[in-house]
Amino acid sequence: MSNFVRKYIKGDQNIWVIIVFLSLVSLLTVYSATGSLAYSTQGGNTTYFMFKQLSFLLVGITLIILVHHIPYKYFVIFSLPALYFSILMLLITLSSGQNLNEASRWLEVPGIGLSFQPSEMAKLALIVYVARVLAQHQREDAPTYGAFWPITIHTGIVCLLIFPENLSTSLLLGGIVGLMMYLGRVPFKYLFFTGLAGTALVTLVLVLAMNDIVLIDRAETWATRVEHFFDEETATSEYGSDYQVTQSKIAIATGGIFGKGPGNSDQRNFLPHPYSDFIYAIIAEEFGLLGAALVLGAYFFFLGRIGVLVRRSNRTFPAFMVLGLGLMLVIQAFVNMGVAVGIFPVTGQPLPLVSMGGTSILFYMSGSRGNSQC
Amino acid sequence: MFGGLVLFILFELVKLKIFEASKWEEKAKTLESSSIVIEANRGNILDENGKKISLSVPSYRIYMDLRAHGLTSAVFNAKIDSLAICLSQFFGDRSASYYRNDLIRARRNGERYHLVHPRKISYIELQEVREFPIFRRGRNSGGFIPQQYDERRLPFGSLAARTIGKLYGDRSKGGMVGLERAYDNVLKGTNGVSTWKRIAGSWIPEEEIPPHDGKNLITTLNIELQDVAEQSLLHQLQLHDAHHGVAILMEVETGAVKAMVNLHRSEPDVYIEDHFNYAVGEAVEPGSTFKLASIIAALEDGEVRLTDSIDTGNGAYRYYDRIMRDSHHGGFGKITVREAFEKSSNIGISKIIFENYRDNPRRFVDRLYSMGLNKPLGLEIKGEGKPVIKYPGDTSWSGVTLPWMSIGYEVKMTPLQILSFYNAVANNGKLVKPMFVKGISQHGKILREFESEVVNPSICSVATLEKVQDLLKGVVERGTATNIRNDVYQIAGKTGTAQIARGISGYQSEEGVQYIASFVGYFPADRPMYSCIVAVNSPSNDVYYGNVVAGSVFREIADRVYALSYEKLPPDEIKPKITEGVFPWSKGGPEDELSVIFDELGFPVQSRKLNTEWVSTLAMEHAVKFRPKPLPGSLVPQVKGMGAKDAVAVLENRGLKVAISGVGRVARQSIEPGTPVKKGQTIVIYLE
Repeated sequence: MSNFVRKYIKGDQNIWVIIVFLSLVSLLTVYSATGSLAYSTQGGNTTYFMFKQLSFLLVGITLIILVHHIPYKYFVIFSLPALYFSILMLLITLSSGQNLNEASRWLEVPGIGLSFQPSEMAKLALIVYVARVLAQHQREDAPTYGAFWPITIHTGIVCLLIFPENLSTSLLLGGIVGLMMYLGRVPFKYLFFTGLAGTALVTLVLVLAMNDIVLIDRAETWATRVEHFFDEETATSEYGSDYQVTQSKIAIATGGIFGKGPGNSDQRNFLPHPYSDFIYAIIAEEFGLLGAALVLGAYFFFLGRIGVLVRRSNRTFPAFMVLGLGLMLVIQAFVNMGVAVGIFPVTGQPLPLVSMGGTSILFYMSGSRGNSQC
Repeated sequence: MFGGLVLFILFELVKLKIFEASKWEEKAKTLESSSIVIEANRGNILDENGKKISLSVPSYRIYMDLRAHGLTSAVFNAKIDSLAICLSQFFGDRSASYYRNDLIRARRNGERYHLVHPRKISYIELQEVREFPIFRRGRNSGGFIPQQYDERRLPFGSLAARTIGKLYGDRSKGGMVGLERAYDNVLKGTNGVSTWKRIAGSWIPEEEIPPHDGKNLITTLNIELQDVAEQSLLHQLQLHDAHHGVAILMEVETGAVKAMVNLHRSEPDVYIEDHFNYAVGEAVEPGSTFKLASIIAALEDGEVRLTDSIDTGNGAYRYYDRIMRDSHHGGFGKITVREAFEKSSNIGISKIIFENYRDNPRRFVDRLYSMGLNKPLGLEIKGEGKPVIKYPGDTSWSGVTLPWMSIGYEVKMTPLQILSFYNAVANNGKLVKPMFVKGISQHGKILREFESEVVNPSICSVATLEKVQDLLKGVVERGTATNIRNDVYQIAGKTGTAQIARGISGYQSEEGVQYIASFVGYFPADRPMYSCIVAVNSPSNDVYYGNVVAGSVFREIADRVYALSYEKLPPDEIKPKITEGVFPWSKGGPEDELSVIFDELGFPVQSRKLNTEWVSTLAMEHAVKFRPKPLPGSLVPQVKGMGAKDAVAVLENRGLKVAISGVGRVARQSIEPGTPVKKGQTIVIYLE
């Protein structure tokens, strides 16, 4: 048995522990948090979403095992076609995607009846691509000038396509690519000015939206979210868009230190998307400060393991890939938890590996191949 | 960097869970279950005949939740234009593009309770608005929030508005004035509560306490009489440009207030009811109408007889440092006590009191107190003015207090208190508390009935009462109020023309002396049904005498009340009580013959001189009643004893052919009387 495990299940054992731990948390919390959804969509079949989540987790874990057996060279070969494919998908989504929360982030796969987020796929493809380009341009003696333009152009295209519908993902992605380039020794002034340009663009759209000039439909929502984040007065009003934050804080506060116990959340009835965007609040409510800290620690530990893996790695491509994917996962997790406790404005970032949702789990799981083995 | 972030998140977690826990738990409590107050419907106020004189009508304001869950951009954008057009057409005050822009802005601002239009609409209108695009999707997916308000309406407009009263603007505070306030607890009912708990994403009603609607108040007011009183008073107030006026009509026996008018001049020629309840709240010096109390006291104490004479001199008489005058120029000279009252001589009345009580004024005031004049009536309507009757020894008591008090100065009473006193005189001495409400009902069932409350079963002896009743009649017959005398029914009452005291400036003011003209009395004088007071405050100075200004209002009210009552009670409406079994049933027949039969049998017969031959009988409680019965046209009549000419005329009228035999009067006829007539049949009459 242990030989079998050793043979087929590869990768860092610590990371496996984290994945299994988070999967268990995910199952319990999703089961608890989907009560409302189960009533409104599944006629009260409360276990529906838990089993769906379980199947996603199992498929995801299988994926990890399988992906571990794919040699790196295929990643290198397929990174560019995959990127272009996902760009195409993003374009299709923008024009005809399913509308959830007014944001067309979803695309339905014909025939299967499943909808998935092309942006998740694009993130993965882009990071692998960036890792490849960075690896190709690494020189012992000079900064990696040559990597800047290909990366910036491709990242720019992907970010701009995600941007109208999902500002936070776009910003996150841009930031992570920037970080990767910095660690990949792209000169800092290049990055600085690119960052400046990006910030200017985002600021412009937001400022216009605050002054009622709407270039992008979603900009209105961002503007109010940002306004509310900085404006204490509306933040205390009953009907502001900070409703979510208030509910989230109530969930966290009432959970206390030891929590209300699995399945005993009250705030799941008030929080919108308690199974994804605000799942951390439900964790804090049901498992208390201890549970919340443990989950937080798990991600931090995950980050640490990535550092170890990167340092251990003797090849550049896997190192960059692990770095990029790992940062993506951890930063997203921190953003999600930060939103729940109220230190970031509300965004729709799910908690990686824990939030309910097939696409992100599948992509993260497959993405974690890099994390698990170098 | 990441370590910092982790610490920051951890710090926030700890802060929320430990340091701010109570704050958020507080908030959580407000969420856990949401209680919705279900407002109870306020009861109606009815007049004595059950007409609604104050009722609640629901009205609605339209609000919109522009962030309603199901109100997506697609829905909103697709329908906003047509909704705007509907709103524009419905409210008819703004363009469709105004409504469109207004709603779009509200949506952008994320308003969850946006007032669509400030106008309140009726229930019928609501049904229309409910069907507008977007709105027809309802609250959750269309953001349609009709906010219900209960409006209190007075269907009869100003009639008795002040007596009925009104509610506070903030409905939860209930009644503000009048009966709405006095009976707030009866009318308001108890609100219900429904508690909702959020379960599985939707609100589920958890517990519900149903509201209990308020009960109806059946008042003693009669809206028709109120109308009469208001119209009459209004007419006089306008005629004399008075400041304000009061008219109260009361049922003598029960003290039930049938009408109570309070009109206040809001601008020249315009009078409003809803200003102040002067009838209840304004205690003023009543003037001459108070002389009734003085004369009762003197008669009761046996100090005077009506035939005693008093020298009123030349119309001016000095008490210490003040001179009292009679309004009659040159004075009345030597007159009787009766004349002093009927002609309202100030000197006459005050001399009676002053001369008999100056040594012991307490005796006089005690007598007034014993009649209850110093006590408020204890009305349920808030704000009753306190009567003021000084007592010897009070700091404000002086030598001139006694004579002036006797003619209604240096005392204060409200119109309703004066009326109650006169009503007691009309009611043979029984002082009853004015009654505004006779019952409480709900769903057409009487839950409670109120009896009239006797304050003082006898304010004075019957002998005195008879004398003063006669005096009050005399005022109208021969005294100061002959102008309201009429031949149909008799009025008893007393005029009053009081100067209005104006604080330290005495009775003078910038506009000269102001008066209150009043008349208080009852009718019909011998069998009093209603008492009434009319007081007109500050009529123009050309005409200010009580008999003219107030008396004419009194007369107008009395006339119409009398006419209305007469109509309601026609003299012979009393239906005979029919009894079967005691007296025999009998066929109708000739009166004389039936009389013989009944006499023979010993049954009493009740009949007027009927002047008819044929009668029908009706067995009643104590007698058999004969009623005239016209001869049926289809029967052969009795012509026996008639002359030939008459008999032929009668018979031919029935279509018979007549053959005559003999001469003289009819002795026999060939067809017996009472036989059905056959047209063209021949009847032979035998004359002898």
